[in-house]
Amino acid sequence: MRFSQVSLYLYLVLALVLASSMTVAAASTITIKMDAQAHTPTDNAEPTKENPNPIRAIRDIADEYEALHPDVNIEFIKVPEAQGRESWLQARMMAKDAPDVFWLNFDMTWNNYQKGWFKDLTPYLKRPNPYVEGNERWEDMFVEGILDAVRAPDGRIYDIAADGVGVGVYYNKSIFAEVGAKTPNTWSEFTDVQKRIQEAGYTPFVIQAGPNNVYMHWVDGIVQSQLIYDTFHQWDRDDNGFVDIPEVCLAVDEGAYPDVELMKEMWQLIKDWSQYWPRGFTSDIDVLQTFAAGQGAMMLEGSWALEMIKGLEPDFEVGVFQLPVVTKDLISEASEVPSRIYGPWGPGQWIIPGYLPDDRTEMVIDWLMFLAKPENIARLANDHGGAIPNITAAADAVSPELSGFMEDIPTQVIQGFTSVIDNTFADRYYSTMQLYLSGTISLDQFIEQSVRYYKEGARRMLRQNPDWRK
Amino acid sequence: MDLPTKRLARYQTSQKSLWQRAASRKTAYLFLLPTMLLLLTFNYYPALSAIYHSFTMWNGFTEPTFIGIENYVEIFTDPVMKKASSNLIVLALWRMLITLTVPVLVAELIFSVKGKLLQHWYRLLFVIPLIVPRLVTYLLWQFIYEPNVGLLNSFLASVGLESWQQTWLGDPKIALYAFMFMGFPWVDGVAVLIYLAGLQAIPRDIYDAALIDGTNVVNRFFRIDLPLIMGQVKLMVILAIIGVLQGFEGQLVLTDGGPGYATTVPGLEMYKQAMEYNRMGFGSAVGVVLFTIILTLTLINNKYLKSDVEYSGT
Repeated sequence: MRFSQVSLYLYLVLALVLASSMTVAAASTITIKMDAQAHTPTDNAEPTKENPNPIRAIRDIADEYEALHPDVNIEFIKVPEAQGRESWLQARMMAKDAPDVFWLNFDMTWNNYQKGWFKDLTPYLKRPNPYVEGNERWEDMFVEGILDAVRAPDGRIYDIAADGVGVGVYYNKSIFAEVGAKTPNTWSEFTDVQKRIQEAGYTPFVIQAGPNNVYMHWVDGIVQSQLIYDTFHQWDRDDNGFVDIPEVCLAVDEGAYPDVELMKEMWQLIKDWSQYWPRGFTSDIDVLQTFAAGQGAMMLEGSWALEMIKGLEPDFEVGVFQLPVVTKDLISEASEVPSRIYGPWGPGQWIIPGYLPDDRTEMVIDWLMFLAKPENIARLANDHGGAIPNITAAADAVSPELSGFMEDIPTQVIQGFTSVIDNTFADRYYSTMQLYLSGTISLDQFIEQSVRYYKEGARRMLRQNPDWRK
Repeated sequence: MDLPTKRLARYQTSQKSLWQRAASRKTAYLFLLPTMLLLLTFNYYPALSAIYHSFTMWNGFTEPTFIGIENYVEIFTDPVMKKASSNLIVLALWRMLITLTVPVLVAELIFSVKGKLLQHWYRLLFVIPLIVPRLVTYLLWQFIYEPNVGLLNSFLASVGLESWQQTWLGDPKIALYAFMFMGFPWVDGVAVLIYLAGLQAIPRDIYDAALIDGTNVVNRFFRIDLPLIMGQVKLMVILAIIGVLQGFEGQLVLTDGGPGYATTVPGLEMYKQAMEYNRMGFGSAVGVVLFTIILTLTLINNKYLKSDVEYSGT
């Protein structure tokens, strides 16, 4: 009896010790939460009908990191894209419950860093990356100029851009062969090809200028960059090779931008082009489906769409070329220098919340340094299929299929992935553009209203960001 | 308790202070407390906060900057808000028209069905669509209106009416009308139930008397049914107004207010400015204006739209 009582006490003590040690073990494991956007691992590891392109590389890399650091657990968080990143960001920042690393397009940080939402990552980029032999400063691993492209107007970097994306014209090689067309180099050749395709009964260019898309912003950016290539330096105050959002606002405020006459000529050109677009292009058309179904010969899309098209199993081969150059015979002020969209807008953009304590930030940075190893970035790029590494030593990982996005031509000189000012401006400007392209208002009315939106937008942004004037 | 004792108890109660009376009913107030706290936190506080923030430039995160009535000036001078308001008036009138016609007609038809079981099944038939999420309906109509492969244009082509084909939601001249047509035949299940309940509450002897007087169906509807369901009509009018003023999910899903601003409404502008463009101050001001309009219209409705016929419900 006495023995069994002692045993019972011993069992109880043992159980308590075990429980407390388990609690200590659980408490010492740190979970880093990451929103890896399009690199987020999918539920299925093997291709399925519903999801033919499973994403798993980042999970494998995280497992390797966890093996090196048994006290760290990497958890991937899915952020619903339907909600809109602005709304998501605002809510998460107000609640201070964002993942430890999250994705945003770098230019979105420019409009929000003043609120203290993001950790300044500049000092961390000056440190050596311990996972890369011989590296003295982490920033040396990045493709030249890419970190300058994401640098905010205050000179700090809030976004580590490990990969980028490009935009190009996808074309249906079968339709081109059927009408005997080559990929065009000039706008006149482009028009001629589209005319022949239309005569053959296809929609020449599938694009939509409807709600919630960036197609027209891309068209605006590429064509405008071609036209202002010789003159944009007057607005490029920091001389970094492009006119970014603060520079646009300052130029508008001074009355130096936009060039109204040039703008008129550009939009007249785009209006003429719209005769080759699908019926109802101002409504919500599924561009990808229409193109993949073989109903349209070309479409303007990002490099990320390559895998999506493959998933739709088109019965034709797909090629990519860049939007042809506008020549002086069409617009006399044209620079005749082509332009393409390529930038650090990839799924590998890493941002850390500003409220994160320094000790936790250190742990997160360590994980990101591991993730940024060239071989890991190459694995991410291969897994995604449409991302182009911004880490120099991983650049070889670019798939040959993406070469059309990497043509050796200048990137656009007017920046902003969704807007050159802010989202209110984009909403007003592109809504008015819809009215112009659909023939509801005249070119003069469109330009007059647009200039007003430019001025209002610039005034609004400069008021919110007084440091931009410094 | 006899009558004098009751009167005495009432007199004694009326002599107590408010706090004494409240204390004597503390259990009831305790039960109400959680509800009141939730109401204050999630309904009244945000509403009062919106009134304050409507006078500020605020992005929802940093300290708001007081800018007086600047947001209100922008609301009343911005061409987009003007267009949104005119769209809202058209949509409100349309919603009132269909709320006061189609569901009333359907309710009358169901009410006229003789068999109770058959009446039950018809009622069920019109109520079942309520379980379909609104978003599904919008996406269905998006497919119907799709300009290239959509159901409507395909149907028109199949019957040789290619010239009637339109870019329904893509043409600024017709987008609002296409939007209004959505939901055809506009039978709102909730409205049907409310009207039907009103009709079923009308005493049978009124109909019997009317029948003896030789009334016909049209007379019965205009002289008996309609006056006696004015309470329900009033409720539906208020709900329709509130629904139109607050609703913007259809535009958000289908057109984002476009093309141009052909289908936008103030509610959508409020949402976009506040939640997508970080202009919480301006969004709050739009919300305050909408609140004022709803309140005013509700008061007018309550004052002037009255049921002037009373009947005993026994």
